[in-house]
Amino acid sequence: MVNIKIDDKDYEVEDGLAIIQACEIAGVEVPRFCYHEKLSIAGNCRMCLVDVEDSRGLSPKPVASCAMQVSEGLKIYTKSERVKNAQEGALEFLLMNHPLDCPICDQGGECDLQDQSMAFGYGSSRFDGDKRAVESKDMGPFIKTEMTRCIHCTRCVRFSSEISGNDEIGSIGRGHDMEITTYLNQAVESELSGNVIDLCPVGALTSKPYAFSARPWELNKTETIDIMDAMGSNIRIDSKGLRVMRVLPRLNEDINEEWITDKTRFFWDGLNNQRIDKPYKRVDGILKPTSWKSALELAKEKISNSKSEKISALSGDLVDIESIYALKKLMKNIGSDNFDCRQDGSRISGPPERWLFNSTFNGIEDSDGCLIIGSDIRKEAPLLNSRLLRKSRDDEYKIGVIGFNNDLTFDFNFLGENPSIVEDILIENNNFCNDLSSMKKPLMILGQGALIGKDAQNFQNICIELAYKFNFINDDWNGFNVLHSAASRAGAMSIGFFPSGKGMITEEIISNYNNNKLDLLYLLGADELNLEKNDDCFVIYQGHHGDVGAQIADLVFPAAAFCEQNGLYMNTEGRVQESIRSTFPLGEAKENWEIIYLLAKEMSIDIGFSNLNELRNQLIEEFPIINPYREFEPLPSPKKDEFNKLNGHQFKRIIDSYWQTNSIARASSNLSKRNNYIKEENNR
Amino acid sequence: MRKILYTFKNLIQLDFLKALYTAMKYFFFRKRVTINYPSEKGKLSPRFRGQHALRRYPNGEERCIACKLCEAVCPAQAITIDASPRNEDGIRKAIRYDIDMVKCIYCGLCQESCPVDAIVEGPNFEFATETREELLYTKEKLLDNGDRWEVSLVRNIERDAPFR
Amino acid sequence: MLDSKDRIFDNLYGFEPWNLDNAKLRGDWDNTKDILLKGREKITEEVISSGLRGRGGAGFSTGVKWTFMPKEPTGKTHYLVVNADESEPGTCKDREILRNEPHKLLEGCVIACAAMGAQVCYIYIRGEFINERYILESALKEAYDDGLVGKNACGSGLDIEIFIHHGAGAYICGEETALLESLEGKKGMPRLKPPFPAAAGLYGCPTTVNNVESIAVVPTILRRGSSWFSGIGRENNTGTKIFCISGHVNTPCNIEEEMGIPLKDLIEKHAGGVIGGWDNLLAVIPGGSSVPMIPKEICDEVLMDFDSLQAVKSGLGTAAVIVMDKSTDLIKAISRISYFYKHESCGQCTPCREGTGWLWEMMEKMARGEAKKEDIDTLLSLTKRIEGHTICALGDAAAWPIQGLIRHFRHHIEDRIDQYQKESNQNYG
Repeated sequence: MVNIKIDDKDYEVEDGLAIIQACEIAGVEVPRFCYHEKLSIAGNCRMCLVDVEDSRGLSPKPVASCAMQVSEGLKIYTKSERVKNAQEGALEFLLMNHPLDCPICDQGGECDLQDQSMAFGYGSSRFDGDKRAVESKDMGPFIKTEMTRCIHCTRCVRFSSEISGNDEIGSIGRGHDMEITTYLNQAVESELSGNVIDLCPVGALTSKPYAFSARPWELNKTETIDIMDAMGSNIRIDSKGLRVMRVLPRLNEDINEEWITDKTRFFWDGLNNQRIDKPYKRVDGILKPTSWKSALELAKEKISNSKSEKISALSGDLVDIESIYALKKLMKNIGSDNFDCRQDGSRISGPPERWLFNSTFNGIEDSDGCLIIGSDIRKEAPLLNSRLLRKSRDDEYKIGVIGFNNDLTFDFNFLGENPSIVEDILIENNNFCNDLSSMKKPLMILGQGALIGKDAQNFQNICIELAYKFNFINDDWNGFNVLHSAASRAGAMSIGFFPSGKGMITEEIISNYNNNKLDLLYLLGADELNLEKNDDCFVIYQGHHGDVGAQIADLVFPAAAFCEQNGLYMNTEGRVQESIRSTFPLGEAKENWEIIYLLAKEMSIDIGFSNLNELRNQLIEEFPIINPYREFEPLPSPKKDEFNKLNGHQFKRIIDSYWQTNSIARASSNLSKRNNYIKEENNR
Repeated sequence: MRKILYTFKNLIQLDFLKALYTAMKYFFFRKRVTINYPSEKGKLSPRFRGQHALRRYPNGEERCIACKLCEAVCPAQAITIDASPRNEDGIRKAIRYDIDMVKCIYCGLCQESCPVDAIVEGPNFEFATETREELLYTKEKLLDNGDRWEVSLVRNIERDAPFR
Repeated sequence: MLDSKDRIFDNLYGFEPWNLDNAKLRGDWDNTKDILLKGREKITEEVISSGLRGRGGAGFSTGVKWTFMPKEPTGKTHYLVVNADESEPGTCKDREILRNEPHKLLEGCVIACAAMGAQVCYIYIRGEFINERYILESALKEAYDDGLVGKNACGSGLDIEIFIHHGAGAYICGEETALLESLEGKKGMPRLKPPFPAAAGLYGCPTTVNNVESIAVVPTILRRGSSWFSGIGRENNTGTKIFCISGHVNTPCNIEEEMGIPLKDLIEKHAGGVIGGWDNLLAVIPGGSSVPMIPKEICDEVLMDFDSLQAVKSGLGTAAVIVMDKSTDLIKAISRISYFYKHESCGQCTPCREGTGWLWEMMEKMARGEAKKEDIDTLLSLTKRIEGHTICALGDAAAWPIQGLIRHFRHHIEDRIDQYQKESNQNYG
């Protein structure tokens, strides 16, 4: 801690902070454009100049507060005449070539330049020459550019090299002619590219899908979480009336820091397409609208006419924990144990530490090496990839990959495609063993793709054995991690929505369905199954999009999407967060838990709750791990188990097309435009 | 003495004579103020705030860029705007511009806030209707107003310009 | 007046060949081993006591700069970088050294490396200096072949490697940190200081950047003793300096002279006087385009050294004396300089990127007279808003010439404006 004076008031701040950070802690506002906490220091906007005085006296000229660290006894003046002159000067120069087209600019109302001109500017300009005009660039379907507005803070350039890691945006030209552009005007390909829209302090980079559609002051802001992947990024949904207009990230240092993926940022238009807004039932092979009453009656009739062991249920990737719990209760009441949440056929099971990201995302910062097994981490969790990218800047940080040799934006040792390499490492028959044995706190990241198939349990046991052999697990470090890609998977696993002992797993349910051995299949938002329509099995689909699941269904219950109801989700770390309602369910759609409640009521089953609060209380009582208000604490290390030699175990790619991983994303024209854009560029 | 003066004033009916003088003065020498509306019409200030209109540029292009400043500033929340990129060239334009004339309080803040002089309050005050619905003005109606009143709108703006 | 025996650069004019044999005849590489074996502290002490101030413009003590390098090995490579990116308009001293005295520079590099414990030296040559680069490369090859550079340089047991890097012709790469960026293969944009190069310079390693002339005089200083060098010139402004005299003089030239020579003597004796006589002098820019000009009244008296010129609110800079007689359109001249800075601004920080363009536009207007008199104050306040608010000194360099012009020749600009208005009134009135 050091003692400093800001504007003649004493403060004690942490050592090593930049002056601008110290001022922020002290509540003194220092204007800035180029400075951003998560990016490197550029110091080029010259807006944050302050006067400093140390033992040698007042600095000969004002210093950039973002680039200078605090030191003992430093006196900082943020409002002196000289500082004011410098700030007014910087703003005058910035506004000199800025078009001032605020009325047609999407940034209007949330623009740093607007705000700071009001707070620190001079009021009028003395410039009477011609302004510079810069041609706008094509940066793909997400980013709209208006380069005349650019103030060259280079935040986007630094983001693209430091966070998204593929150096796509850069600057060309010198001095007055400097321009921010992509190489040869190519589209930006990163999964995190949308963040430059938030980073841009002016309206040079804005969101193309959101273009001109709303002003920030007319939006309702709901702070909620994202379910496009299993990281549980914190987001803010901005809605206007009944429509979601945009999605922005929220700061959460433990999970997403300040970033979100493009899929999260732009999925929102999928909420307006392909939606199921009323119940449907199949009449003569065609789905026809019906009423809730008759739909529930039909469901009751079909369920009561089926044998309980021939009834099964599958839950999808976007469903909240409460509804899955409700469905589990319903199934238990009916007398069936055939339910599963592992749509992709993964065989994770056992206690939570066997299928959670034990080291937590923040633990990555403490780690000193990484072994990725069977995971295409850039597609499954782009933000996690970005954290690894940051670590990989350190030459000492070694990353080994077994499974998929894809571009991860950083350098890694590719050890091979075959799972049996893990066995080689276990018997120290691999080059990477030397690196592994020198690590004190390595991470092991097991993808879902590594845990699919009959031998998956065995493979996982081998990995745990490996984890104990090298330092992945020791007394003060648990680096054994399983990475999920489906948002509801960890939650569903933690409430036991998979058969234990008796009951059929996904693979058996599917084969029974195909072999006409199933009477009734209840799909709770399960859309990733690729089933053909089978007339011998009555399929009930409960969900919000007319996607794969609804096509094979005989009865469709319209449900709310995640942002239209409150619900709990557990992310891949085991962190439970609540998704908050930002708009209302469409048409006649009801909340997920309510549909199951109504169905139980129709069947005269006492399911034990009649509103969400009761349901949630029951759930938390039965599974304390689900309590969102509990202190988030690390789990014990997974236990070793017996294992055999691998027998034909193979890794499976679980994400083919990053932009189309779930029903909302598939319905989104933003994302499919992006998907096609890549194809077109590849074809060119 | 005072009493004598009072009696004298009463005797010659001084107050009556004063009133008569004032009345006669207006009757004979001053111009008449009462007008025979609607056959006759009064003079309007160029700042008169009457019925709204959306103006166009001389080449026919709508002025409104859907910046939503008028919507934001409107104290009665009478204005509703939806913006969108125009299909042909991607330029920001209003796809919906509604004014609820029933809510409007004719404060003139919308025309003050407009950066392109698109929304103006014109000299027309004779737009009473028989039903409420007719007072819910759409963009078409407002543009139509603008075309209809353009000449006097331009003249009013010109006459008011020196004072701004 | 400097004695010819005290001259360091005997072959400044290239009357003799530059090659190693001839250089040795002139005394280069003579007993370099002994100098190197004196050890770091001795060499540095000697250079400090000689009072040598950096010849690149800022005038910081060269020896003291060397002491900023880490004393103990840090496990990283330590670098010496020689700044031969001489692009300041009016300056051509390093060019002559590279052309005619390359071995003085190379020997200086070896000694300087020894003095600061550097293992690698880069010489960053300006893009336009193509012949100079060939000469330096050949000289370097000679030196390598002779065992003067490389492993066990001069038999001293020190390993000193010298590399020559060719720039791409950007003025800003003459700024020390921009030069390092350029050397690393990035865009030549100045870095924020601190950290200073001595802590984290080239590739994040301790680095010292020196001017060609500062390095090239070092061997002679060490050979002839620091007291000899400090005996020349005035206190605190010691030694000899190459002056580049150009502009309206009868014989423009480069001349090595002692520091603190009166400007009048310098021009009259070495450059054949001002065209049309001393009374025809209007102003002089005494230190390359980036320092403020001084009018004749000051030129009569001023001494050519760092402190004297600073006292008259100008600077010695690179000692490029640009003489302007009464035929000069001063406003246009400064406007041209403004254009140069607009063109060479790297575009990184705001005041310089936007401000230099604005200054140029205003100067153009002033040159035409098409401005208002209040604009002069606007212009002056603009220069004050650029000066000191930028990352590197290019912003200052763009602002100073204009400040100098307004300080001394404000009436010139006002006359121009009056004249323009009179003319336009005649034309339209």
